[in-house]
Amino acid sequence: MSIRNVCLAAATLAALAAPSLAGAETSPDGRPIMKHVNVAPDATVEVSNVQGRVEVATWDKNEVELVAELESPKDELEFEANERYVRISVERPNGKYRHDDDDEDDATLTLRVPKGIRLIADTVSADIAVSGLRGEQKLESVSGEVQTQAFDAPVRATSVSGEVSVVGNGGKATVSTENVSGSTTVGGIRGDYHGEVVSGEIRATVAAAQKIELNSVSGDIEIKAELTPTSRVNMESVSGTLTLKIKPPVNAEFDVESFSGDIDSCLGPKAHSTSKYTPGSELNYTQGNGGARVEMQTLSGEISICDR
Amino acid sequence: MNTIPFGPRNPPDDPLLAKAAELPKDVAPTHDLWPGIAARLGEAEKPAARPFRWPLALAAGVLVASVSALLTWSLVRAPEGPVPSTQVAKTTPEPVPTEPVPTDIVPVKYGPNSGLSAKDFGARDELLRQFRGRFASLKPETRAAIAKNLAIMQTAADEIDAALAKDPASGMLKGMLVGTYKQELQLYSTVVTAGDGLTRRI
Repeated sequence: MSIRNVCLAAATLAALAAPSLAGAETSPDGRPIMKHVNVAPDATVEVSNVQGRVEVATWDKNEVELVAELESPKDELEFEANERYVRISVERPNGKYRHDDDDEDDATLTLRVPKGIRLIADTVSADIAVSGLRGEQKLESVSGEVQTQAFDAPVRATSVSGEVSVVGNGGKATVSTENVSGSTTVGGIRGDYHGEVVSGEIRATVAAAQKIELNSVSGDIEIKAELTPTSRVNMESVSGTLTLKIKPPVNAEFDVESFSGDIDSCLGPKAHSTSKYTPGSELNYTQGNGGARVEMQTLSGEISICDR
Repeated sequence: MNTIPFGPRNPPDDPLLAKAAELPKDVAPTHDLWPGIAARLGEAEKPAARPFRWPLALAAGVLVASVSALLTWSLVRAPEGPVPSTQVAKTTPEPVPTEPVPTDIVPVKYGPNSGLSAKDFGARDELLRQFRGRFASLKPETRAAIAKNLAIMQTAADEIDAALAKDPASGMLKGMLVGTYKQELQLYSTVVTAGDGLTRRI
């Protein structure tokens, strides 16, 4: 191969490996910025925004389409992409982002993506709304709301003070939520569920999950669950109330303990005191044929178990 | 009493801790470690990342996972001897100002029965330093919510510590302490990495 051919081959390879699109731009006239790129059906898309909204919907094309509306002329849109990876970010060049009362600094990112992509979205106060996405999702906000749907791929949704909502669509996605003071609502999922909250609340409906793990500091947790013989449920709170409603028939072993809170179960025997010197109580029994295993613990929170 | 020694938080059962166990314990990488990590994790091919942001996100994530793992390990190995209840300092949560500033943020103080070491606190304080750097840029109501919830965690830590003084062998209580500590670290980490375009990768 001649030197010229080697150079041409190297240049071609470099062109193929380079991002198909890259750069930063502002929107001084307030017009939406539009971007369009062809991607693999299972590409990774990372989106970052500070204030405003990130909205992601799916379509049948192997393309990512972005419409960015930047209300602040200081905001800069960064867009980098190749076939396997797309990164979209709204940046404030001086590194500062502040909340203004008139909300003039909102940046709205509206995307349409292939159904199977992996999505990573990360915001400060911007809301995140995702619909129809079958790929893995990692969605995280400080004070924005996070709303999405779960199918078969893992979903992780986090917000410090915003609400988190995950709606299942019959798939077996593993769902994980983290929340500090906001409310978490998880409905209609059939896969494993792991939820954490500090003072907010968790309300969840889970069917046929293998593993359910829920933790709170002072927030209340209420879950409606359908258990299989191999289901494992672990709920824990320091001072929040734990409520478990199990779809009958109930076939499970229960191991329930509270250091100083009350235990109320409409199934099995009454809770008994762990010691005559302390206010703690516990409840251990097998309902029906057993199989599933339920563990619940609180320090001072109440525990409620029932099949209705 | 039926003790439950950490249950799902044991490293083999907890994906976070299992990954953490494989990670280095250092917090701040001195050079670009991510390409190698990404290759091992099978990450998608990426364009050249901006050089200044990812170390922060990575360090925060590593810190959360590493400290959680260290904490769990240290509590598991902790002796279960009784601790005098006179060491428990009952504290009252500070009033939450309407619009707290970074210096108002006080990390959760864990009592003498917690089993936490100075090393644990050192790692947590480094993450807290980064958290304070970001805190002022948050919305006032978000800052207030964070301050309020740190006070809630403080109350919980005090209650757990007082309970541990009465029942130092309780796996249930130790598990709750680990959970509260993890929540605190995750709160800092979420704020530190927010809006960087790179969420925690752990």
